[in-house]
Amino acid sequence: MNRIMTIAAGRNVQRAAALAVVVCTLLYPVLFPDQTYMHLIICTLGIYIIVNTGFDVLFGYSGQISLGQAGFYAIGAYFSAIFSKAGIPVLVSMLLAASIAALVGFFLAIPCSKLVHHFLSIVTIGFGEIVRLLALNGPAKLTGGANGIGGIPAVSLFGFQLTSKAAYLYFVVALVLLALFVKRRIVDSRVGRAMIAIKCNPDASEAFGMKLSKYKSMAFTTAAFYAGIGGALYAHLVRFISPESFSADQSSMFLVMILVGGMGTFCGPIIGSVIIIFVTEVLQQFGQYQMLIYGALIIFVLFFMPTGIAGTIRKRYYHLLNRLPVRPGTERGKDAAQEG
Amino acid sequence: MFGQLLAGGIAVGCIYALIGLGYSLIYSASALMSFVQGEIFMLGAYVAYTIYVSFQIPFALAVLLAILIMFGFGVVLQRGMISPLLKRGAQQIQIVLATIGLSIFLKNFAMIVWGSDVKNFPSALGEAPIRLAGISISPQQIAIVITTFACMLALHFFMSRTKLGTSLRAAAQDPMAAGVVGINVPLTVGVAWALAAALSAVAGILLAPIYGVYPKMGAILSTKGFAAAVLGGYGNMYGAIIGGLIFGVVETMAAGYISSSLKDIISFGVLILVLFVMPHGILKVKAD
Repeated sequence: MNRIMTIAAGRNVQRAAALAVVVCTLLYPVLFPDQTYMHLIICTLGIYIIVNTGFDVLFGYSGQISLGQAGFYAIGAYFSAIFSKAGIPVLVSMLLAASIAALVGFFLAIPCSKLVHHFLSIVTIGFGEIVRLLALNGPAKLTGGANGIGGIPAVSLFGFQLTSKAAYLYFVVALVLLALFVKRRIVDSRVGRAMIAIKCNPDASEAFGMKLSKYKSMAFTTAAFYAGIGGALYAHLVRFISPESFSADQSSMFLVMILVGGMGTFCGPIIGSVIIIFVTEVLQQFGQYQMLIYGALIIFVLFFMPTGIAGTIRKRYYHLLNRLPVRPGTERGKDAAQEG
Repeated sequence: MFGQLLAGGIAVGCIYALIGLGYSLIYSASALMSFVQGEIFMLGAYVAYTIYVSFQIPFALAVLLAILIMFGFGVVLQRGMISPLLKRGAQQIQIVLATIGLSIFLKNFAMIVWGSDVKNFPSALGEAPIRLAGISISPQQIAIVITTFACMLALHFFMSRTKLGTSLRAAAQDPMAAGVVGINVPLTVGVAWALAAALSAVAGILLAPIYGVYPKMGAILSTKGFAAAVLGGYGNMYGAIIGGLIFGVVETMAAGYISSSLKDIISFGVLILVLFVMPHGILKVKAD
């Protein structure tokens, strides 16, 4: 295991591995054009990676818990569906919808930047519920009530209609790469470092002249934008949305993904999304026992990896892995903050 | 109309307060958040239902047994899951994850064991509403209010007058110092989790005759109980009661005067507004 980790710590090895994963994903629809269900799963996985990547900026880096990510996800999905059905080009309506989600995130951050822990949890839970209930009970002409919105137009790119799942897959992969790149730039920037500092010690950061509410709302806005993009992608992928898909369970699923993968890391949200999607698909065959096993599995994993998969690997092989695209300050800083 | 809604709101608020008290107890005793309270609430109702309806045991005995079983469940939960996880280096947020996992497990466990249909829990007090000064109140609502206040009084006296209660408060304030002066801190933490479970079970049994028993009954109640605890000031026993009553009354008033489909939107909106003005809840506690 030590040797595997030493090899994995090499920059070039990581680059090659990332390239291999991307190439395999891209080649998949070419080699297996009939497995449309698998294409659908990969698309969903990509969407979750995008949402979780944004969520990680909020939760893993700036340390603010949110149990209402499904709210932003729903805003993205609903607005994109409504705009595109009104005749606005799909790409524009996706961008518009994500911007609205980001705007909502910014306004939600105004009360939230003063809150911590359970206070923040309940406000975000409440926010998610409000969005879901608005979709359910709002103007039925707009949101369709419990029936949801059907017949959402497909994405068209340069005159091509991306109706097949395989074509959509390429679109999603491109956006995933863009999302990961932007996240990397954000967390490596001055703003990202400020977020980490605020997470580690809010009082000290404030004393150094960082405006907490500014960075906290930046994190919220970023996460909301990512979730909005994810929601819009979801709406144009399945082309039917209903309030069912945006319940509080969806929010806690995002949290589970990010915690299983490991928060505050580059790979964590990706690992978490892959594992949870994989586990859910494998458990499908157990029928009514599916969610029972899923719940038991979460507890089981925690007993052996109390800090998530990426967290545990990082802790055990820290001396080897400190060149991984992982911010070493986050884990240590958290411990220090708890002691203090 | 107003009196009617107020009475209904207080009854619902009492349920939220009972669940919220559980959250507060757990937080003050072990500084942790548990997301399994709603499922304990549901499980308590199911256990009482099974003992009372299936085994035909007298109501009072059945309820007592169910509460005792859930008390034991709380101890097992703390000893079997939470404490070992903490020993293995899990942090607050991983405990949240573990309790989310457990709540998924329990919800589906109930669905498999008892089925997903709504079970009718016969009220031991009859259905005939009592008319009082122009307001009609069901006997179950009166039972909810009386039981809740009895529970709170009992909890208040337990906390302030008994040795175990006092040591629980001491351990909550400073576990290390409490341990130094000879208080059995693990015992007090276990008692707090068990009490929280018992309170949730009481709430479940009280609400069961009104809405019936079904696997998803805990999901929304756990959120609202949590809202009650936070609104009142997290970790503050009396805050949970105030928060629960406010939340219940606001919700019922919104349903009565505005629209029942908008009641949750309004009550959560009010919650966000209150926390915007008072970021630490109504009865201020230091959050860190």
